[in-house]
Amino acid sequence: MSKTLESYKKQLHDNLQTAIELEHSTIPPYLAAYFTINQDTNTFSWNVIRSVFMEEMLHMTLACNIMNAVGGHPSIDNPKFIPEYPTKMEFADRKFDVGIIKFSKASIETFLEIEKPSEDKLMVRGEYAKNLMQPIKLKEKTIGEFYNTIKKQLVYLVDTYGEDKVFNGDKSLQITPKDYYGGGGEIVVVDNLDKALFAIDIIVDQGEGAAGTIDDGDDAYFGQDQEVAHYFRFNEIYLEQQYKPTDVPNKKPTGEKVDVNWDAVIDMVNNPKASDFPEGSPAREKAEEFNQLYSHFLRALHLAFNGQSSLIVKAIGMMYQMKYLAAELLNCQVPNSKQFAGPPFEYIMPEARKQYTWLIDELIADTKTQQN
Amino acid sequence: MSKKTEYDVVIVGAGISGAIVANQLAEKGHSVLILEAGAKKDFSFETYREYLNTYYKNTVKIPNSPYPQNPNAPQPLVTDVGNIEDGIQQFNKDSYFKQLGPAPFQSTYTRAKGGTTLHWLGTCLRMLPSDFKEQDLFGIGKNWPISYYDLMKYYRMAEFEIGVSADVEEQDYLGLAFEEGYVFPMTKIPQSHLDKQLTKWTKNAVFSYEGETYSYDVVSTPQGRNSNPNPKYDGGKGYQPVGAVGNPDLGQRCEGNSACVPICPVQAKYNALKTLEKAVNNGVVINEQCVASQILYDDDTGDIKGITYKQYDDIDALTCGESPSYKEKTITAKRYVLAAHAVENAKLMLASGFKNKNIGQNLMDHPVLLTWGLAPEKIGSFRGPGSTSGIPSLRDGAFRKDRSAFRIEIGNWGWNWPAGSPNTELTDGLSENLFGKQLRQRLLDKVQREFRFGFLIEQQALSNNCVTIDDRYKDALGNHRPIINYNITDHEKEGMLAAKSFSEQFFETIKGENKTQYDSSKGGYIEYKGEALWWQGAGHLAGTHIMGTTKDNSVVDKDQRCHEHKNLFLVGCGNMPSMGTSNPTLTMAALSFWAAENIDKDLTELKN
Repeated sequence: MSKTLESYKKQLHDNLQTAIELEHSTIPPYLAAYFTINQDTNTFSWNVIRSVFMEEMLHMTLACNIMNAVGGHPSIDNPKFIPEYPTKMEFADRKFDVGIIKFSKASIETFLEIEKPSEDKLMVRGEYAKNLMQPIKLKEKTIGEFYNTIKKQLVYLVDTYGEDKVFNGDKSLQITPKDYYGGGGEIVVVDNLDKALFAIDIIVDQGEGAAGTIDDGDDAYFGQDQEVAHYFRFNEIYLEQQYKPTDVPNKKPTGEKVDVNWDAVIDMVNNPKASDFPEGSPAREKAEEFNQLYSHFLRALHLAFNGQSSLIVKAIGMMYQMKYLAAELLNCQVPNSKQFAGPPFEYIMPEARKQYTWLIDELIADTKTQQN
Repeated sequence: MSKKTEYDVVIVGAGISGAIVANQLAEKGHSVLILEAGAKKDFSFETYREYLNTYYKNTVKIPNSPYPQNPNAPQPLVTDVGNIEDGIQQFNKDSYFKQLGPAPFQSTYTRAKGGTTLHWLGTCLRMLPSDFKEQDLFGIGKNWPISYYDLMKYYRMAEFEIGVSADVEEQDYLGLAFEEGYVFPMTKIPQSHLDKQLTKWTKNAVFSYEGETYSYDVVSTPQGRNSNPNPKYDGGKGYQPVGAVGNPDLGQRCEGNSACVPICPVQAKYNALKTLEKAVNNGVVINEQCVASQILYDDDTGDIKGITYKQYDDIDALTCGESPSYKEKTITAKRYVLAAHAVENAKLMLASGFKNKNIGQNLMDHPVLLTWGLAPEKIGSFRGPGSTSGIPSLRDGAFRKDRSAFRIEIGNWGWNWPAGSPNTELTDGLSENLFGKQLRQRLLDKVQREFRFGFLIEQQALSNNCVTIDDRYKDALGNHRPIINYNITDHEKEGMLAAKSFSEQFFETIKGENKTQYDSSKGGYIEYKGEALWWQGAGHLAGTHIMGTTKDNSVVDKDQRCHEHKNLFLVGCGNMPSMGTSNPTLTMAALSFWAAENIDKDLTELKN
């Protein structure tokens, strides 16, 4: 019996690892769109994209809490964790490129593909899936359906083996509201099936809309004002018109017009890579620096999600630093081009991280304090 | 206006006091209208961002820099006080205050929805029990008609409303008492590296003055800014931090943006918009662009018959100076509350012909003596809130009969206040022909070692320090401009001498470099007993309509109700007969909860 449970758990852990990677992989493309517009000339879009990637960070953290709750361990600081942009995203019925590109109609189209809502009714308790999926490629049609598969697995395992056997993770690994705050909603500490399903509901509803509506559920979950889900928020930018609370998912929005300035955008090169820029150029220097910092950041997150939750505060500091570096990069004209450099989000192997070593020293120092 | 729409309560002013009273009364089911003088602003974060952008673009980063001057409701500015020329203090010609001296009054406030909490630092110290009876204990100033212990319950309510971060076990000094088991809503804001280094460097050392010794204990300061909620709060129920108005996920924790004064970019720092938004959700109506100009009352009974106000049309920043158009209206209610600010409340009552002679008198502030220098090593200046700790040991003692007590604020933003650092450091470096790496290195070496003290000197309530009016001085709407008479006593100067001595001994103790140097041409410069001193305003305006036992010694009674006008309540720092050495906002908020309770009782009796 334990053998079967273990092998099922392994598959569940693989799926949750995919979920964590999936949540993370959307953030660099969203950030690229966000960094290339200005709060003053594209206020609406700027606010929408910001609110979405803040919620993606919540989703990633929620997925880590579920992983830790079922005895798995999130793996964040490894070369496979970051996709190489442009990456292919594959669902059951469609395949498309996701890249680090500037704010544009094309980038919003991609975001709509990512966040596309399910046409089927989700949330089926009691059913379970025997077909577990491969990482990266999703067999489902939407992210919501993918999470539904995880839900079914969880329910099946709990029904078959009992809650204690499935939710046997170390409780001290959970990220709590003490360390995670201000990022798109409140973190859920996961220690049983109900909490895990609730966490997944937050992820799915914020992305695709709650139970066949455009609403993201934040009013019910967090007592906030009503807000539409990611897909519909992106659609508001795309169609330059807001939804009304009475609007429905398969119809166009009928609310107020939205001011989108498609031209007030920094002309960043598509999918910037550090090696694209000539050695010695400011663009090259900053791009490499960004990658170094980003990789350290993943290390900090990895440690935070594996027992040192207070390191999230360090990671927040690094995010601010990355934001400033991205702004500097977008100020660097690419030599012999009219376009500008941008943040590459490339993984640097731990042994090759030469810059920001003091950050690592601080992490090590923190690790020691926590162990004492 | 017709009877059927008469409000239970009309409040003048949508700052923290007005917001608290309004929300408390609305929660009890009373109908409430607030008249706000400031320009029309909604509760969206986009509107708040306009303030931020104004601040970013303003080259002079004074406390009111994000909040534009409004000719219909002008506000004083710190830049109104000019230099001393040929021994005479100069004032900016278009200042809102008409200052008669002899000392310059250097504090300001904000006339906008949310009031001065828009630009406050957020310090939330309770007053010491001894501060409530200093006439009895030290023969100085005035006693309160209530004690610290009467106010404790309301301090707790204020600490909840503002969302105060502090560790209670560090705060029980100099007689400060807390209920058994009480904790603040949130744990303390992390102390700065500077605070920690100063603690280390002054271990076991003492400050000696006039035969007495005092400790250098560095204590974290309670602050109205979001930190981690304390799970033990409210008997284990915990606390939910309140984020930005119109953007609740933002500002859930202090981000260390280091811009608290004049504006927190994420509203992790409390401002009264948070309470106002709740009040509006509870049914409170705010009429904006309405400047109260006259309180009508019955000569025989003293009862208030209505408040006349001028409702002005929308203004464009560019039309400043042109004569505005407005409509004059009068509103009636069952009870009236003035919450317009210490100076504005007094001005309004004087303009309405109120007869109580105490109105306008006893104006107080905390004159702040600044000293500054370099730490022996880098202490990471300019990080985090403006101040995270203070040294409280000289806030109380038998010496108060001879010289003013003071609280010592440890400033985290280098020499920003006394010397305009880091901007001035940059221009200094440039004038030495430094650039590139050398310039950066110089800035880093110097700026990172800078710190300053602010000594908040207690000021007594005195009749000569006062707000008056004169028909010759009016603003664009024809309302009076406040006339300020203000001076510093020898008692307070003695306190400043002790403060200066403290600073000198302190820099010796930590082996730092005392760089304090006072410019005799700067407003606030004085010489006393051969010593140069320089003080600034703290923005703690108080005492213009103090509470007391009779109409001869005060304007309001202990319930915050006017002695001579039974349906009129006053709130705000104006009610305080002394401030001790505490920044007054928390105490004002506590008094506002107390006032709201009394108004509710009064209205309930009236309705039954």
